[in-house]
Amino acid sequence: MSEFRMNHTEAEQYAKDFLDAYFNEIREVVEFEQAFIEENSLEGPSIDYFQLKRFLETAVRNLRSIDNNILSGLVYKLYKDVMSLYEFYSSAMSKVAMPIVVFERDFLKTLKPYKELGDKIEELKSIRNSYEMKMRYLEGSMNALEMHLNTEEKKKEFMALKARYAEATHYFAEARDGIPIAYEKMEQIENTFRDMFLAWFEEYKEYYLGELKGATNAKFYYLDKLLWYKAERSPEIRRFFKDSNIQGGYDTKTFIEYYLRNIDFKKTFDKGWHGYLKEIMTILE
Amino acid sequence: MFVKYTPEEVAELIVAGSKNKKNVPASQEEKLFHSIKHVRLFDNIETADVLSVITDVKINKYTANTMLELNQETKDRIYYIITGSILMPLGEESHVELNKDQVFGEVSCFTKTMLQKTLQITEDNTVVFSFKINKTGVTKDNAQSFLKFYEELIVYTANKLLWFEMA
Repeated sequence: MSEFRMNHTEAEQYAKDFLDAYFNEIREVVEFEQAFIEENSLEGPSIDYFQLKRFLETAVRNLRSIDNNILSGLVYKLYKDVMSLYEFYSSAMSKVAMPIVVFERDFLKTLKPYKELGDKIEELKSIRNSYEMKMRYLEGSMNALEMHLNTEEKKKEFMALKARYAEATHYFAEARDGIPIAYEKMEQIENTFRDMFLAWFEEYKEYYLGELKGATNAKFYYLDKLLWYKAERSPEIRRFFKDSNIQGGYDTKTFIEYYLRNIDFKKTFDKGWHGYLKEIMTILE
Repeated sequence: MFVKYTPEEVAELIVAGSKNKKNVPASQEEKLFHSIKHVRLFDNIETADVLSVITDVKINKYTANTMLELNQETKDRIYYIITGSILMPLGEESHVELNKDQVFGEVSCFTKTMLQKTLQITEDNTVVFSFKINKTGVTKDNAQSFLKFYEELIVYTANKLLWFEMA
């Protein structure tokens, strides 16, 4: 079995290499989106568009029912892009939600000595259990024989059983005592990495998830603006605004105000919807 | 993910998403879209049709007492008052005040003559939307739009003449 020998620097590098691989998929998306924003000097919004997602989806659905062409071309492309980024962000959040589980379930298993110790414990447990059974069997045999030690042959047989019992006891004890030692070694390895791993994990998580949210938020912002840019140019939507007496510009805020005006408080759903609309209105203001 | 956008698409995003629209060079179309909702003259014409009918859009804001010259240079231009008021001379001694949602300069489109006039802005922040008719833009497909536009314009002119009678 390979011995665990790593100094602090090596251990830190090992943990970072693991985290680089663990966050690789997220990093690739983040870098792609960062490059897109930087290369095109796009502006990020000052508000959290994630909270507006529900309303934006509703707005898209409703505007589409007024003008079927609204969700086409660039709007459709950006809409799909933003929604897949949002889904990716959600799954990335799940992936990084429990660092301790990642540490115990994924990271430690990549350490050969740790994995070997785990295998060793399983092996020792198996040995211990089989010798325990053997000891019970031998105990039973010896007890039965002890009652009838009236011949030399039986005495000889009893002595042989006793010797086998002693041997089984030895191997049983050896396996049993080896288990906590292996656990202790595993714990030493865990302790070498735990705090460092968890601290680095938090740094990776904060940076990559923060950047991913920022990039997704920026695209949400452009989706919102593009949607209304197109809506303003749609004769059907212009007519709808006019017929519905919607005052104000062609934007999310105006549309929220329109929804708020038409809330039916008798309906339970609308109460929740009203609360949400008021909340996002505050965000926009 | 990893969606790539063409330079044209990026340009469209920038225009749509720009917080400060003044920083984005305004195209003819942009100017029109940002002002058209205030121009009742186009109320019954689809936006796309308006685009094919008119050209060379200008939106000007004036202070009170500014003089506005209608001459050879502006003879094809039609003016629409979005806000404010303008004093228009009628003959040598009389004049009439034109207000919000009234049109002037359009008569030469029908008569094909040029009338030299000096108009006086009477209110601060008077906003005037002006344009030319896209005479070369008429096709079989959009002829109906031109017709609608002329119909609307005639109604505005008739109302204005009635206004003159009442003045």
